[in-house]
Amino acid sequence: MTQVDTNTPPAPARPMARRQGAMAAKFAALLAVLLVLPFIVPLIGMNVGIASEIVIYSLFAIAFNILLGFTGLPSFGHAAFFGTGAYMVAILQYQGIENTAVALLTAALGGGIAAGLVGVLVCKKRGIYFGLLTLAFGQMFFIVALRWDEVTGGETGLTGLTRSTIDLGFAAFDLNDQMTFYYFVLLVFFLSILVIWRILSSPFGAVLRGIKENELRVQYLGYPAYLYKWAAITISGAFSGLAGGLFAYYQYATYPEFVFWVQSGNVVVATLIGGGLNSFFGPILGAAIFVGAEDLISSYTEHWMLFFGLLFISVVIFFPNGIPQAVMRLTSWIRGRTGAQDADKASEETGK
Amino acid sequence: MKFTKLAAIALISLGATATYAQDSVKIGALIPLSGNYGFLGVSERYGIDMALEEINAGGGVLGRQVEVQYEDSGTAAQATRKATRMLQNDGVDFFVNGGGSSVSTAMAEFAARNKVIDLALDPNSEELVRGKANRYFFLVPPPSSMIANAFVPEVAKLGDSVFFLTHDYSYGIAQTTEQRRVLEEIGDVEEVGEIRIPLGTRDFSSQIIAVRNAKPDVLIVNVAGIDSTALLEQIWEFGLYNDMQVAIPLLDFEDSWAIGADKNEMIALAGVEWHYNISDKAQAFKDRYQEKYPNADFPVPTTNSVNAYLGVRILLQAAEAAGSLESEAVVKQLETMTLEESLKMNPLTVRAADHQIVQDFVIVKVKPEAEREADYDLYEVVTVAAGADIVSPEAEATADMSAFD
Repeated sequence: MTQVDTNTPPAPARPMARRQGAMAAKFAALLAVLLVLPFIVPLIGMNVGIASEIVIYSLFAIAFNILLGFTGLPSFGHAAFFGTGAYMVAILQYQGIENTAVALLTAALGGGIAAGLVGVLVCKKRGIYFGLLTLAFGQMFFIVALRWDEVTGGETGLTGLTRSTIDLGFAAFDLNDQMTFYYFVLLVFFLSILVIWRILSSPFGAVLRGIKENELRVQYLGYPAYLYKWAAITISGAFSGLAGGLFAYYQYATYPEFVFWVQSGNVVVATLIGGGLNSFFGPILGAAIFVGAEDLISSYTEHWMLFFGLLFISVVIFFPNGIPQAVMRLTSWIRGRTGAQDADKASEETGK
Repeated sequence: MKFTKLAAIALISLGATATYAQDSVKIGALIPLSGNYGFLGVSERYGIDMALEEINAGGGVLGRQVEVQYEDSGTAAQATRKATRMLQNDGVDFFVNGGGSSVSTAMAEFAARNKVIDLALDPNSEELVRGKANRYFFLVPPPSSMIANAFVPEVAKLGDSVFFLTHDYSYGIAQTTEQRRVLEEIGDVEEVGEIRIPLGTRDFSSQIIAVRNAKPDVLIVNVAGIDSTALLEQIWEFGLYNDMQVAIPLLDFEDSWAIGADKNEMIALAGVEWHYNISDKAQAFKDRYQEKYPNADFPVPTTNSVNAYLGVRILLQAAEAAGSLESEAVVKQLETMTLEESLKMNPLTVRAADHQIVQDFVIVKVKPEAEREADYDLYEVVTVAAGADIVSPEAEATADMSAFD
């Protein structure tokens, strides 16, 4: 949580251009890392396919973080929107519509509409009430997915989906190829987070951050806070749906468990591990650790749940701002041990 | 510099897996090791280990030892992700999976897409031999149709009217649908009602009162998992079994063990996939299990152990017969395979048309307390329905079993 110090005058705002430049550099660095990710994962004994899963999960976590990190709304039912997107792709394909762009747009639309409907009912709530209501609505979506056999395939879901070949005239991309699929997912991911960043850095995003800090004050300033919350829920749901749509392609299938509350919990965990509460890019790190650690630990020991649980508990207890905070503490501690006296002092300050 | 080092390590580890894979035949077992089904995974593991011990003691397969790589199946998405890694990085030759019908559906999909064989060890889902069946996927346990064909004729002998309690999701509905079909074929038994039980129900008093008011001769319970244990406890508390006969088409030993020996008295008729009294081989398997796992949660092998054992045995027997580990050759062998060591009365056979395993199904009733030889000796066998008589007509098998492309 940011502390507001009322005694000192606010620091002069950095020039817009410089801030944008710093952000552009961060986006470029992220893109550079993600471009080589499929070449890194095999080196640590993982399969190339997992890179796609990390990126899809990152999109889900960033979309979710619009609510948790930027608007301060703890949604515990986000799997509903993720799952809606996934089912959209699958249902469309069962109806004979195979165009990838149409399917993904419908997934986003479906996630957005689902979130919009839930949003109408929860947008005036906050805190624990918001959390519990979203959890309940999420489970409603799960029951529908599990029980509406004719449309959702029931317990065994909708399987046997196909990925099509995207033909741009000069070149054709077969998404069945793992690498091609990864770069396709990366493209959708990167465009999406650019849009999300644009939304969050607009005046609209500033109101959302205001709601996180003090909803009452935002209302006194004349903003209809519930409408902003509703819009945030809808946008978050739409991008979650898009992530779900990509996930359906990744799995070649959709299952009710995509909509299960455990999935909602996973995205919360991933976001928190990555330090999403006060970072835009945090959820990406969180998703990478969440997906990667699970796969890596479970390949070494059957008791992976134990280690996974310990990892999460220690992050929450010792580093409530996630792994980035842990890394920062560690580096300042190392500098404190090896560096000169003044470095020691500096580290103490950052340690606070 | 750093990069070359990493590359060297990667190359060495790649080389290591490659040589390793040539030394032994490797089975990837994705079974539940955590969560709701975790206790089933333990039983499955016993069965797999017993099968491998036997096979390796007899010289392995194709002159090579067989080893198994266990991983937690988790969710459908986790299972296929792990399976991909096991296939591409760890050099796994065949897969077996547990974790219920959702993981099995995903693994069936995975098997078809990667042209690698997978055997599902624990679901009874009809869908898996119908719409979701494919060339590389085999279902070890009997599907709902086989259970209904074996069980309902015995139910008809108990009374003239039945009432269904149906778990309200794919599995329960498929069970009741199949049993209703057999009822109609038999003709002289009337269905007087059905109640659908939502997943996760813990209080069944309203349903039990409704059943009591309907006064059926037989109550058929198609409820699975923890819900079923809770339901049986309450049928006992309400004394419902005094008014009618309680019949359970598919009863897991885990459930009867959980409710305790005395409450099993209320079960008039139950279907089980396996019982240790049906043949000498079954008895011998039970003895071997008890010797090997004296501290197991369940004092006799459960269906899950037996199915896991049978799945691995039939798979490796097919590989041996094929003289190859190549999927296409092994599928062809499996499709004509007969496993004499079936642990049942008749040998197991695989039906090529939909890859279901034709097997006997056992109908049991409660053994009077005075006749029990041990605390686990709860049931006596009423009849064993032969697999060939209860499997669905081959003409109904409509799945496309050709190679996937």
